[in-house]
Amino acid sequence: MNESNSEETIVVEALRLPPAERSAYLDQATGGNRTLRQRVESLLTSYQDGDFLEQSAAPVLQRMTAPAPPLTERAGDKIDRYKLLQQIGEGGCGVVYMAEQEEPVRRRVALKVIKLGMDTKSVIARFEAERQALAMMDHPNIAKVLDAGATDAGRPYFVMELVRGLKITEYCDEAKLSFRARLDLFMRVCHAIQHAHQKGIIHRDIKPSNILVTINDGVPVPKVIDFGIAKATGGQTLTDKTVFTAFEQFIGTPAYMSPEQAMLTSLDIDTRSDIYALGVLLYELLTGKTPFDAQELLSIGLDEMRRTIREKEPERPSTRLSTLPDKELSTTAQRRGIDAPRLMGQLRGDLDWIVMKCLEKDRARRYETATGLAADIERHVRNEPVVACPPGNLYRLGKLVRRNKLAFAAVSVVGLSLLVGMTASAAFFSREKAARVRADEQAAIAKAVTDFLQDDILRQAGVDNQLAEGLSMDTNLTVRQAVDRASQRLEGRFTNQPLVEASIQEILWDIYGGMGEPGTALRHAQRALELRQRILGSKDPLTLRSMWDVAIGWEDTGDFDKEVSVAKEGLQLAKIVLGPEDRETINWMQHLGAAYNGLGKSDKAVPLLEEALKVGIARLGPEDAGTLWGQILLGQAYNSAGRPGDTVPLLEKTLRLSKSKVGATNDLWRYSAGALAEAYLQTGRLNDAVLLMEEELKAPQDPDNTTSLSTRHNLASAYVEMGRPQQAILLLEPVLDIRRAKLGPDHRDTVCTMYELGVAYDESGQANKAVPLLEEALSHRKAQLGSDDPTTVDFMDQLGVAYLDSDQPNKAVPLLEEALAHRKAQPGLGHADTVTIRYHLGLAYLDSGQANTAVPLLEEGVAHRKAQLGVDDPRTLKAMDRLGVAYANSHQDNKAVPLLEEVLAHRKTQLGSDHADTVSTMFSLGVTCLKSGQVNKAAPLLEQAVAHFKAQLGSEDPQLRDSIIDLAEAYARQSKWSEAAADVSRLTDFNREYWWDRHFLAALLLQMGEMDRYRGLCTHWLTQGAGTKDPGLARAIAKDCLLSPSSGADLQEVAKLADFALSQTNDPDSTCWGQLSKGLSEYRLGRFAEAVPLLQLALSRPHPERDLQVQPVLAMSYWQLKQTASARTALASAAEIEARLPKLGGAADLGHEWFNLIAGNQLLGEARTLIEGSPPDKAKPQ
Amino acid sequence: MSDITQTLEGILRGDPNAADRLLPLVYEELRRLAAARMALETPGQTLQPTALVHEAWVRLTGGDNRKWNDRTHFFAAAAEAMRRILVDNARRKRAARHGGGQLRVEMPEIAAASAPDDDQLLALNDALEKFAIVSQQKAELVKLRYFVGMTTEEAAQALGISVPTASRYWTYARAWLADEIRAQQRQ
Repeated sequence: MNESNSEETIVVEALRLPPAERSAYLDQATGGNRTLRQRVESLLTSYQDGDFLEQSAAPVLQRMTAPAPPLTERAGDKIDRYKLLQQIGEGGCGVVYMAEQEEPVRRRVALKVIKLGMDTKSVIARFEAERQALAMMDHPNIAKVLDAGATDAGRPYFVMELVRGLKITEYCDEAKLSFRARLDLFMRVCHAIQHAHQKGIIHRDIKPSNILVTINDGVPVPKVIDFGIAKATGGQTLTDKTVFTAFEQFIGTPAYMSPEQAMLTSLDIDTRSDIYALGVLLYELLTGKTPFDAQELLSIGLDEMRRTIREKEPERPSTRLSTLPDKELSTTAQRRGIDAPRLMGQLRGDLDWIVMKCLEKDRARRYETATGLAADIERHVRNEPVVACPPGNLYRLGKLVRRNKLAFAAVSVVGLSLLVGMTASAAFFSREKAARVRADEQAAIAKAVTDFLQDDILRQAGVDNQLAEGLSMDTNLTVRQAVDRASQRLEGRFTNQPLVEASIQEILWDIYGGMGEPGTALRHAQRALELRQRILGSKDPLTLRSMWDVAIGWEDTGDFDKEVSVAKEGLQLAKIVLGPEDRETINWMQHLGAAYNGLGKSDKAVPLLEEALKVGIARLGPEDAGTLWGQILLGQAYNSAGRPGDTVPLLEKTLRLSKSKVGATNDLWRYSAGALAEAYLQTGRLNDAVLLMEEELKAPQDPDNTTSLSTRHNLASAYVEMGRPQQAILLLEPVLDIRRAKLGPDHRDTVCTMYELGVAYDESGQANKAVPLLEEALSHRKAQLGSDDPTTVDFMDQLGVAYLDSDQPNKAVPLLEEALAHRKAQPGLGHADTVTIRYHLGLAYLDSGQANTAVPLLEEGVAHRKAQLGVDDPRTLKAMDRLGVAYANSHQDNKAVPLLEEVLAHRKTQLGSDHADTVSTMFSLGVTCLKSGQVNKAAPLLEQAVAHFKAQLGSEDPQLRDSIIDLAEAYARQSKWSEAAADVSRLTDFNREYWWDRHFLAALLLQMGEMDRYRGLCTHWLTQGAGTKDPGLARAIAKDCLLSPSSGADLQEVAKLADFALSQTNDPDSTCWGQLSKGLSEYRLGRFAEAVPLLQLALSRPHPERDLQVQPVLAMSYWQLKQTASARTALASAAEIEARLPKLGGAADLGHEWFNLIAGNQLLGEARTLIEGSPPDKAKPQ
Repeated sequence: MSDITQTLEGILRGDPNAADRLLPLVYEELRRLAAARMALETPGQTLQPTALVHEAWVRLTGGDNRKWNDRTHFFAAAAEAMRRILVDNARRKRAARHGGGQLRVEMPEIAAASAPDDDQLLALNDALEKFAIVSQQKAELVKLRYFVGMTTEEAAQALGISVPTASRYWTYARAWLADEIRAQQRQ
């Protein structure tokens, strides 16, 4: 050994020297030992400074391949015991024959001869390796692989169950299967694949040509073929050889290749590669396209193909469809028995996300199993929320993070109380002996404590004992009551034994803490601390323990400031009493760090916890529970500090370790899962977060414990974020009840849940429930953190939105203005936060009638959403819709119309024409067009809106009423009288607020010569409107009843209305209108002289549509007063005005005052008849 | 998997037979893995034995939750297994050449690209067996570096020795083995 060692040393040293110096060194080193010298020299000679051994023996393991023999099989040939009948297919790597097997059973089979140059022996060897597993597959949707062998030419062949059918894609298109039927078929494929996966078989080559559909008793049955063949023949590894030797045959396959299969060095293909391919299949079944076009992939060259498959994000199915040319789109839709807009509408949302989850580049983010995929589709079909969801909503993510920071901070410290139990008690126990408590005292304490438990608490269970001790009798005494009674009787009993009392107080602390009464518990801990400090001094381990209890007590009662100060003191003392690296000192460091974190001081928490972790790893080892807790706390602090990126690797490891160490139900696991889920949430990995939290909640535990509550809260907030508010509500309602009861309404956690539930209510359309909750949450939050705190501002914003959603814009405006003012003073926050509030404020201004003010805010919101979410996101479209309405309401119709048209186009494509949102935009656009004089555009829009409202809304609905009146105007302006009158005349209920239907109808009936109905309307309206306090309504009724001399109305009643209208006018224009009505009234009453001056005054402000009515009445009044010249002049003026205005019955838009045109023409006709003796072109009314 | 775990635990407990039982298990797993890998590869593609061994480790033990000590045993077994695979391959090919007929192929054939020919490989193998008697640990190092293809750093870690020590061992082993082979050839 020695010799060998020195030989080794000498050789190695010598080799380090330049050759020239070696000889001298050897002389000295071998010291005259000739044998050694010879041996060393031999070694040195043999040592070649070349690459002997440096190239490892197996740097490359190569597969030997045999050149492909030519293809020779044909129908009629026999291969082993199979007789080839006919060729039935030619696939990617082989030719498929129908063949007849003669023994042991006579049956028809499919026989596939592999075409490519494969090494037959290894193909068959690999098949044999998997043969047993393949034989175990027994599923109605899987075609069995029966046998394999080699042909005479030496090429491998496979024998399979014979399936005669169409490729699944072809079948679906030919049968024009709906989405639903396609999904059903696809789910069955998933179950088949799952069956194989459970037997350990990966297909590796799922594509339409490997899934055939046969018809069995009229029912389509999908059959997956070729299981095991891809693997045996070398799979689908994307290499030059497979692509270029089989270029033609290869087409169709790279489109189905998963990113991991596309990697050159890909070593492990697993079941998730099949999930990817299933995703591609679903994509194709739904859209008729694959995510990447196969031809295109092949045309870009191999490297680019790999890059595309591995890196390029495919378009969502619905997006893909929207980029198809119209003709192709309608063919695609037709094949699914649906029209194009519906097709897109059905895809958008769930199905998009389900497909995209399968297509994740990172397979860890795909569905875990094929049944998982099928189950999600099933949920979609049943209209339940699916697991797959869009990536985090950028808009609200910042908010979510802030909101959770608080909830999670609270969790962190709760973790500490468990930590005490788990890791610290052992240490405390041994230390108790070292404390300044004598042994006899210890024994006395132990006895006193036992006595107390037995005599004071447990004995109460007996009724006799209760009576004997003078207590009131209670047969149903609860533990709680027993403890209460016992603790009341403590007072003064141990005056001379303070340490005994301290120990009992400590027990009471523990009991009350366990019963969830932190306030009472804290008082007992404080008493114990006080006693121990007095007797033992501060620098004593027992005192320190009480201090710990007190710190936990402050935490439990939510006083984090006090907690920090106690923890600071505790840490300081621990360092002195126990040393800087003691386990307990580490606990104190962790506690203080977590407490800082609870206070929101993550800048102080992080370094402290990092140090604690460092010391912990060094002193306790990396897998010690205390160290693991430290990691969890540090992860939480990273989360609070906005460094979730640091949390993820830290806690993923902790999570794994805690699972493998102690089982999934352990607290360690739950806490690390909780904090990790939080980090996932912060980094936008909502899916990961949700899955983790759902798993966490499945672990057996008291459902009402603090962590479970926190997790439920956080899971709910993730649900809200994912657009699943209903699910969130189910979780949150009980959490809020429990927190209210346990922690009180103003505890931070309670307030957080209040807020979250408010958000969920609001998002689920229950704004009325949201408002009181959010109001309460906001008032607590303001009191606790002040109005400047970012979360307070979020609360304000959310309440503002709820006010808006519950039609209280006037409350929303000041609140959102306040929120905005505070947010502006928070420069650290992103632009997005400010823009969001400004946008909400814009909505509030719009709803409270301040469209002008709303416009710039909404413009900004639209721009921001376009940039963040894209133009066709529903949220962007909503903002655009509101902006369109704001433009319309602020007289910017030229901007409103194109914007609303854009929204309408998107919504029609996305949602179809019948969707409420689409109709709403249609209606807004229709009204705006009408307002801006584009009556031709308006009419069809309003027609559709009315049709929809009729079908969807009650006949009393104000929106239906409005839309009918607007549509009537559109028709009337095009001189389509009967169309205009049709729906309006069916509006039977009279609305004092909005009576234009009657006003319109009167004009229309007159114009159509429907005098009976006109008279009926007048009588009716006069009765309904009598005594109105609305001058506009009074004037309208009066005038409508006076337009025709044969209205049959009570002229005295009409005169009263006309008088009232005139008496109430306060602007010059409405005065003129009042004078017209009154003048006409006087005329009809035969008081011509009184009429003239009124009518002259009515002409004082030129207004063609009004003057067209005034002049004829004036003319008739003059005529009756025998002032014929004046009469003819007035009549001529009227005719002149008539010529300037659009003609009734013509093609031109009659404009907003079409009904005044009708009235003017009526009166003019009457005047002409009177003065010129003959009506111009109309039958004289009866 | 449980076999391997049990065996590893046996080794840790000091069960003398456990180490012997480990080798065939690892051999089988590597053979299986190599075959599976090759099913995915086409000619010209490289397959690194190191990657193979690491993967075998992960597959057999379920990841990194085991002690380093286990790994040392495992890698030793893996290195030995790789040696046997390559040597068996060389022997089989030589037997075929000498008229021994084609044996049933149990695993895809493996050839070393720029490695020595079969005779050289077998000569080295003989020398290595002798060297193992002189120094077990240095022979282990050679197996890890030469048959598994580990770097000095990896091998040092696997053996639990420092990198400079491993480097020194390596130099000496190369000299020793070259000398031994030379001596054999002279005979």
